[in-house]
Amino acid sequence: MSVNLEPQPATLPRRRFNPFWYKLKKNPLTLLGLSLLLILLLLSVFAPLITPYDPTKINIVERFAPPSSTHWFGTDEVGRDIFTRILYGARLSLGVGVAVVCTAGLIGTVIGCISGYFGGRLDQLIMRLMDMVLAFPSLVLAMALAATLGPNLVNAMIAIAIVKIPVYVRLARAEALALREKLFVKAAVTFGIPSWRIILRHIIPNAVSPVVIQVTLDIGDAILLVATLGFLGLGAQPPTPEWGAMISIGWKYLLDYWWYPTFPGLALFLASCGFNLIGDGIRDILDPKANR
Amino acid sequence: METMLQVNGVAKRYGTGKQQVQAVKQVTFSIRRGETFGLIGESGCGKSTLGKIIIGLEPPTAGEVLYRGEPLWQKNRFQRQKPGDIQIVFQDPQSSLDPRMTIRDIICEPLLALPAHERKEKGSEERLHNLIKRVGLKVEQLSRYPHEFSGGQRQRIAIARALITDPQFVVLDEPTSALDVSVQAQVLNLLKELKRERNLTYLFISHNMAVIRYMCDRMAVMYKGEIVEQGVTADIFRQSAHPYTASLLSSLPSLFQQKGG
Repeated sequence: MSVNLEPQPATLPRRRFNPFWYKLKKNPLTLLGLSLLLILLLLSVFAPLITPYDPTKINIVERFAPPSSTHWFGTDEVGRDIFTRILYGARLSLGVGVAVVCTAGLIGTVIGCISGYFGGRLDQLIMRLMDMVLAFPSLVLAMALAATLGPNLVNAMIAIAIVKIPVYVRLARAEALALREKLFVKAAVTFGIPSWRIILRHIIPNAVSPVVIQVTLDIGDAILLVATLGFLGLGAQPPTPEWGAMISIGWKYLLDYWWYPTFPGLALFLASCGFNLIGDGIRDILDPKANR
Repeated sequence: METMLQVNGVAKRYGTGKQQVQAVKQVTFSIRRGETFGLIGESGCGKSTLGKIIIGLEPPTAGEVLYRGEPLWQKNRFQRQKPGDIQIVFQDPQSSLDPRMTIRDIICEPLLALPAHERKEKGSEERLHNLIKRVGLKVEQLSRYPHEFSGGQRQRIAIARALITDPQFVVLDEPTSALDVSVQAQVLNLLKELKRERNLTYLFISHNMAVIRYMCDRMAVMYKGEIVEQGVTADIFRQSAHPYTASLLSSLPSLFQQKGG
């Protein structure tokens, strides 16, 4: 019987040279999501180089042209190239979706952590306020807010962010309630560290994972909400290329001209997919226990 | 000898109305500078509650706690005369370290409560390195996370964290009961050495008679929220006055008797 002696490598591989990349590589789905979004982003940035059309120029002659070599995704009811509008619309829709949800997530996490950590009356007050917001159908409340603030895109974004906040508050609060009883938080209290610092150092970093997941799940929804408000005249105004608006207008033509709502919908689907996959990855990367 | 901590008639009640639980009743004892005072009792007898009152996590419902002659609790507010002077090591090293912080951040955390000049002085790299080596860890391990360590190592980290502020008084709340026996001995020896080197005073809370006998100069036996017996450890082990103490002592496995019998 022979013993197979493998030569040992001269130097041991250095541990944790870059934990971020290491974890990312172990998670091919995250990479897929990241590349999806990267491709969308690049396409939107270089849109003028990729397509010869103007996203807002009307061309009645070619209205409702089916997908062909000249118009890859066909044209809409006034003859605008849908592929071009998707590319230009990505600039607006992706940015708006991310901005809205991140704002809501950030504010919601902070409020939720404060609420859960202190508990008592403050917690009751905050949670009842959030219940009030949740009691309304989100679209109706967003419409009311956007109408009050004035019809433009920024106000529509603010309105949707406000509507989305309670979800994150509840998530973060639930985490904070559990964390408050953890020994490492109690230990920090015994050191004499002020509450705001405990919330910043211990509560928020440990409560953020479910919020991040929810944020990535909500981006697609937020894009659609912005679109709906736009459709009702409370968001991005008509000639502006915007995915949600394209879907909500094109939806009426689905049976006769299937390409009109399908391709913007596909773009939204791909973008949401990308964000969700990245969300999963971020959770793993944020968790020091996973994947080592 | 100077009295470090004086507990006078302290009581703690949880809940209201019919659901009240009297966790601690009329407890009085004092701890002298430089000694290790043991507090022993079964689960739920109120010994950890007492620890929490002393460290500032729970206010007492009656009585007073004097630290160097000054009351620690005034009107349900904890008076921290000198931040970092009293520290605690908890029982469970799994949850007493924040999983998202590196060992360096964890150990240096208590410094955040100190005034700026003191923080700079005590948080020097050299002091940190000496301390981490003293508790038996390596300087390279400072950048790692708690889940990469074993229970015993984590407890060493918790001890380093308690000592970074140069405390005078340390509450050890069952510091070894979550560890396996061989590691227990190492940690206990480390605690003993550190006490000698740094002239510390310990309040050692435990349910393990053998550990108390090994560590403590004086001890108190708690039963159902009351102290039933206190005195010099050796005396109590030789001749216990209270039947509960006797039953605790009989729980101690004795190797020699077994062999003889």
